[in-house]
Amino acid sequence: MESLMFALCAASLLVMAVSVVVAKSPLRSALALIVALVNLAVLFVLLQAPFVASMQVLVYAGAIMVLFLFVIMLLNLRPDAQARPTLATLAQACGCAAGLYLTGRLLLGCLPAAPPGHLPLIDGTVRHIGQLLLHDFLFHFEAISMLLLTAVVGAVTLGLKRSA
Amino acid sequence: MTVGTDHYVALSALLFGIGLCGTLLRRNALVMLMCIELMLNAANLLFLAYARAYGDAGGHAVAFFVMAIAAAEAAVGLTLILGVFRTRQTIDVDDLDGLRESV
Repeated sequence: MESLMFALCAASLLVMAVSVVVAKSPLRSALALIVALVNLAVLFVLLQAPFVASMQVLVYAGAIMVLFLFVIMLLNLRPDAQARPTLATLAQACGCAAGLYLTGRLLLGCLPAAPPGHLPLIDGTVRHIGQLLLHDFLFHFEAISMLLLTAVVGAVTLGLKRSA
Repeated sequence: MTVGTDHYVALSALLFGIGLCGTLLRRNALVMLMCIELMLNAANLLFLAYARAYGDAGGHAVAFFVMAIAAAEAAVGLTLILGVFRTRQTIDVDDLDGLRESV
């Protein structure tokens, strides 16, 4: 049952991630990204992280992607002009291949080997994560709140129309 | 077949690679920002996979922090894109070459 869910979600996630990259209109990219994020939330549930999964749906698929959709509607863009010189495309493809190779080597070479045997149970409920956030990670938590405040003030300042 | 940590690591690597390719290939600033979100999510998946492998819920807290940083990044990035579009009527990053030396 778990492996079936994993296979379904992983396949759907990869297809949606590729369509984020190849879709011509940004609106289609955004919609594909929403589906990919919901798939990731299901994977998080499989990883015994219900709190992070609910945050994924609320914050990512909810708030952030709505922000993206608003900006796409606001900009009212024409579809991408896809006609690019072939040489540039070739150079980009080479760059991509190099990036992929580097990524694969980094990820698979530097990761610590997972401990073998039966996976331990893990408490990913709101109660436990909340205790972690407000006890072990208190400084990080406060730093993140300052970062969010700065980001909000910065976004509002940047978004103001020049009144001159 | 049981799903092990390796499967999640491979999935995360693939997702990160797709996001990286998108950031390098696409010239639309909005789509580039979405691909950055994909890469952040690949990192989150890795955090949670290893949190389960080691039975340590600290990875969940870090994943939560990554989400908060992604929210801040999206807010500021989208505002910057809006500002660029307002002054230049384009968000194609190849057209934003105002600081480039003219040849």
